[in-house]
Amino acid sequence: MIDTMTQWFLHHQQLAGYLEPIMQRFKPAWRAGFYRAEVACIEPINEKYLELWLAPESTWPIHKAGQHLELTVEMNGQLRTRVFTIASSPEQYRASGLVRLLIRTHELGRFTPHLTTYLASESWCNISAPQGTFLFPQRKMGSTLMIAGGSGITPFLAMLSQHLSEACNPVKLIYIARTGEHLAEKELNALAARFAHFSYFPIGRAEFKPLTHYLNDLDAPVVFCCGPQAVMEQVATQSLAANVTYFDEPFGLATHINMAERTEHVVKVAHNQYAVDNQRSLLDQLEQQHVSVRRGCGMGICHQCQCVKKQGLVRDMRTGALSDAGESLIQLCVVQAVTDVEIAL
Amino acid sequence: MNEQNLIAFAKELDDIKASTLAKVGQTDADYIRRVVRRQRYFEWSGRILLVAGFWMPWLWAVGVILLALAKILDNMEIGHNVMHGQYDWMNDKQLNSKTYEWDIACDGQSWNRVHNFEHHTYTNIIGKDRDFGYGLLRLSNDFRWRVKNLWQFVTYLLLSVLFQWGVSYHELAAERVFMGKKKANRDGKVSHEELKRRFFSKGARQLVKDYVLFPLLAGPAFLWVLGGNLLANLLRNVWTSTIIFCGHFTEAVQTFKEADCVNESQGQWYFRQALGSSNLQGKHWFHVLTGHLSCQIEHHLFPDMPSSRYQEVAPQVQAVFAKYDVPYNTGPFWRQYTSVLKRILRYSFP
Repeated sequence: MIDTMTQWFLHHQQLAGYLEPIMQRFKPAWRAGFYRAEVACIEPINEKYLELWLAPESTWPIHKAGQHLELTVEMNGQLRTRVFTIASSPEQYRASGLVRLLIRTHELGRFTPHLTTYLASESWCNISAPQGTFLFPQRKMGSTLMIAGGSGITPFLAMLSQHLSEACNPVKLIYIARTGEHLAEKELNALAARFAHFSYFPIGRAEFKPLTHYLNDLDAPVVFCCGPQAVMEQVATQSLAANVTYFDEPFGLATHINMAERTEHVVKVAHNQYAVDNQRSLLDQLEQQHVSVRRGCGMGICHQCQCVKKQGLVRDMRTGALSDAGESLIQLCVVQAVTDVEIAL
Repeated sequence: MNEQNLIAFAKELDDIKASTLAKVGQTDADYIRRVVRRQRYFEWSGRILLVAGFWMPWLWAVGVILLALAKILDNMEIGHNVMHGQYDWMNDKQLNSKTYEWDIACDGQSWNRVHNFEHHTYTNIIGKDRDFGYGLLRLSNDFRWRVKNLWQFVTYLLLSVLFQWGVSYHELAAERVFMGKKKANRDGKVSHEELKRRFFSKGARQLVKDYVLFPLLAGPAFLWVLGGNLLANLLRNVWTSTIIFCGHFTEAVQTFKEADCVNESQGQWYFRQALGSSNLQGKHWFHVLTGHLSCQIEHHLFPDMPSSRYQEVAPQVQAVFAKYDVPYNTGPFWRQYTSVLKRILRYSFP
């Protein structure tokens, strides 16, 4: 009722959207459709990682261990969004009101290297409700093998901290990272010392052996994996071969960009997928494949072909500028795909 | 201008655009949100004071002005510019050209399509840009003189007074949608039924809001609020119409033929935009109230540059125009407006 009245007479989708600029005077980062969170602490752990503790507002629905959230920060006037797994347990949130994110900073990124600038402690940002189904099963189960690669350790930190005290079957964690880059070592060692059924093996990439090697002392194992694409593919194939249940959580993006070289990508629109290359505009290629896109001036002026890019990188053909990896508006007539892209028309 | 100069001319304008867009950031986001906040304050205080007029009539007069200002800010500086995509880079769902809707009879998305595409791509090309004279007025010799042009000054005054309805009717290309007139070179992307639905639905909501809902909420002050809303809408109509006419219909503004834009280069496109627009001089508040259409030339060169930057780029553009000997049509409001009135009168006659 209120929403309909707002749409009819105040021309906004939600009343909150109409009130937003005023509310922001009193409550920083107050935004329709987002939750607010205050930065409790932001600190570099080492050269590559940041630890960010957030205090979500009280209406935020508590997460389950293993879930992620979208973090939105206003950076130089622009709202930028990235997805991060919550690296702390619901139990910790109930006790302290805080959630932890462990963030890998990419030197050339548009988001992570600027976080310390825009999120000075006690400033505000936006988060989404927790999402994702990469969860530790509640039902009684056999033993668990967790394989983490690099920053893929984050969901496991939440799961271990939450579930080790309830589980009594063996849980084994293989954590692959470069020497000296294993995160939360102290925490994991402490858990290993406290719980006899938990064992922890920090290893280097080269030391990673075939899956059967880790499975042989486990009874009725379930495999969880989160890490770089290559590791997950390997573990998935070997799990299938060993006939064990497998769950994974993909993340990360291709980072090699060379527009001179023709590459092929997939554009996802609703439930359909279209093959495109990186040489011509998305509009031309989607039109060619009879997708109902709207063509306007074809030169980036009129914004008729504009749509929301949900994820993936595109390149502006006029300036050569790369888009954000997260959600943003793009004009189909002047962009080329750089990675696989998902758009909403 | 020869081909070589056109290339250099385009390059200099491109450079101005690139260097300005590189600076766009927090200041511009803060600016547009500040304008939105003022719009809200004006609207709320305006609507309250209209009711207060029941007890103190002079408060009513202040209320009318505040409400008119709110509507002008919403339509001009916020609505027009946001729907051009000038603030899309902010990724803010409330200031996004895809979804923005404004406080005017014309449906935002219908306007967005016609205005951004037809008017901005084909500016002042007779037969392509329907905004030249709005199909009502004869403003150049490109159109055959008809008897109805004799009283087109009165038509113009009526259009100004009813401008929001004129825009709404015009942007939907009503003569095609309602009377079934066909135009060969146009490919309708939205069905006539959809256009009609939007026209009536948005129009009706606006009428209900200003002439039923708010007056009823005011109880005994029903008539005060109804009259105030009517007058505020009228003020907004006359203001927007006047400013828009100053942007394209001063005497020196030129028109073009369809053949002119076939395989047009970037330089030629810029050149046509330059000759088809005229500016207004004034103080900062004046620019804001015109939605920066006072910088019509800059707006036509760079339609999706944030309006917060037009005042800054105007002198740079003017300098480039001077260098290439391109006329930069600008002047104080009254001079430009007189020039518009002269043009309307001049072409009333054969």
